[in-house]
Amino acid sequence: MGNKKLNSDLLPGTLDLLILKTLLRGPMHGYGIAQFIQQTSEDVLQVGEGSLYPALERLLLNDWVSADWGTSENNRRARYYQLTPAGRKQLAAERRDFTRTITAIQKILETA
Amino acid sequence: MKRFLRRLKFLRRRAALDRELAEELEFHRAMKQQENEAAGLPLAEAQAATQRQMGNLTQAKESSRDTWSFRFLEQLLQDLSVAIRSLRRDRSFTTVAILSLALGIGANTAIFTALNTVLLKPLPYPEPQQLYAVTQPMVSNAQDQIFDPEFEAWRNENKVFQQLACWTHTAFDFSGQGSPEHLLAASVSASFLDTLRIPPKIGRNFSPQEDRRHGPRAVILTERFWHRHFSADPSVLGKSIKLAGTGYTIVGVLPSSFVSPEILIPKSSSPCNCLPSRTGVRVACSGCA
Repeated sequence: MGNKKLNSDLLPGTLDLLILKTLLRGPMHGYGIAQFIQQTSEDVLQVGEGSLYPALERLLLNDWVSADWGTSENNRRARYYQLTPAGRKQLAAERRDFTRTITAIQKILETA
Repeated sequence: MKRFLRRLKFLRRRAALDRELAEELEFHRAMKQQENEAAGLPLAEAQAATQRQMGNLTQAKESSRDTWSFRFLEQLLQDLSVAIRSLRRDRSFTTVAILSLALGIGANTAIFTALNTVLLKPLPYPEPQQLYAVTQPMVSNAQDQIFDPEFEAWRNENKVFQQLACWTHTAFDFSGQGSPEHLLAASVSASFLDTLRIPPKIGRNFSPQEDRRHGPRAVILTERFWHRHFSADPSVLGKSIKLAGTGYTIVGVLPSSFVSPEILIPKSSSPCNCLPSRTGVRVACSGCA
């Protein structure tokens, strides 16, 4: 299996879901989110900046995350994203939807 | 709706958001480069690798910006301002363009207004398809007019139409109610309102006596005239008004659907000052089939 750049090829909304899930661990900057997704998926999923930052702006616009400037591990100014209560709710809903979709796909794939 | 308001807020802080986004992407780039350097790449190579991995930053920036900007609106405004600037630069072209547009639109509107009234809108009378204008061609006068004796003859020998009526336009100096004014009037045969099937709103139509020569002088007012000069007072019936110095008794008021001219009088009592001689009243004539 090759590496997968996260983009519209993936099920719609998957990137949002992954970002929200990642932020459940606590406030994180964009680079950290991308790193986390890549490492946790063992390099299968790579989030490009071209998808990551638009997705973050979208989440901000929907009020699912909030952003604050802070200082990073190596003392640079970085923007930290944090889940909002609405974002938590959204995460739960998207998770449910995703599970349902995946289960449905599995069922089809497992037919003889 | 809430989303829309947030979007408006974003739009107001646009410049700041642009700066934040740029700084954020720069941070991302720096982190990535650090990562590449840590992997043991020489500085130049690490930079190139970072460049490669980051891809098109401008595009990333723009699609991020798209999420919160009103892209369509912004482009529209930009296009508009370009259009206005280029119009301003080329004055003579602009003048010609605006003039031809104005003329075109104006001419169209004028023609449509005329066509609408003359051809498209039905006449404001009941069963307008039964109304005909009957005229005879005049050799010496381009206007289609007939004389009073001819009208009488037509009426007496009519076997085609239910009814014949005739009218001619005339004008009066009206005095006695406020300031004197010049009035447009129609002098008509007593059958005029019956032929058009317009019953007076109050009062009555002209009587056969009033239709005769030297009969009583009567006048029927349009609703507009009645409103303007008598404040729509129903007790005007039986009162007298002065037209060209002669008294006329008000016998009726027309409904508002009848707009022009302002008053009706029987053709027989039309004052002779507006006609050349006793050769007869010149009238146009219409019938109802």
